[in-house]
Amino acid sequence: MDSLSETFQALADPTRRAILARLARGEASVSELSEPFDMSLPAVSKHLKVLERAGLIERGRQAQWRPCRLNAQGLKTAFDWVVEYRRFWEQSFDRLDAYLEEIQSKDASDERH
Amino acid sequence: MNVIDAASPETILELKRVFAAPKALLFKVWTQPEHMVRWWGCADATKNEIQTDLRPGGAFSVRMELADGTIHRIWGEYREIAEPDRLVFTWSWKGETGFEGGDTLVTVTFEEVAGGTEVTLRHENFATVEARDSHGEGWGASLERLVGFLADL
Repeated sequence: MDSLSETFQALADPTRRAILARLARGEASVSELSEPFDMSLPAVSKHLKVLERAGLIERGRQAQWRPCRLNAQGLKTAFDWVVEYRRFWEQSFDRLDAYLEEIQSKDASDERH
Repeated sequence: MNVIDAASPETILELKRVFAAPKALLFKVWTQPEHMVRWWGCADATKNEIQTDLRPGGAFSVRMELADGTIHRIWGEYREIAEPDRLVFTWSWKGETGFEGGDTLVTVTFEEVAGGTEVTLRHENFATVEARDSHGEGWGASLERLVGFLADL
């Protein structure tokens, strides 16, 4: 799986999106994250691993309290592709517009001859 | 950090435009390589080579050369061909610049309107499609909040 698909796979789960939304308000520990979701620590840890592997969050280094925070760069990548494709298609549409005009005016002049 | 266009903070790309041409012609220029090479690609695309095998499950491939000399490859598979109304295909993109567009799905619909044909293009990542299908929901408020977070950076 390419890395962008991995990112989107991670984002596809509503619990993981809720965790990210919580982290958007500031860093949090695993136990803090588990509270609002009524989930066991291992279950939350599993989601966090997926998010970390997808580059969407980072974990602190301290052994006891490993705070989670959002990885802005990973999130940016997830949204960037839309910007890139928008550019591709808008410019293609501009060229298509011009091309349609060209072939239709050619057809019209062919008919006149 | 200039992260995203605040006006379009979506994970699905949707574009609409009305072209002054009949629907049948639109479908033709979207599916026949000799026409596609003339308009597909960014404004700085200088040369296109395109092959299509227009049938469900058939492959297409594009080699796009940009003005800066970099080569981009786009390939995919036709999922649905409903001439002249609708075209669905998968799409992968890899560029020499290192750009990778992920595995995505493109749905194009053609609709007759006053003044020509309205083309609606929807481009989305597979995971987004799966999420919508399995949870019966969009990306919802949580993702919008994330987008707000990014915009503040």
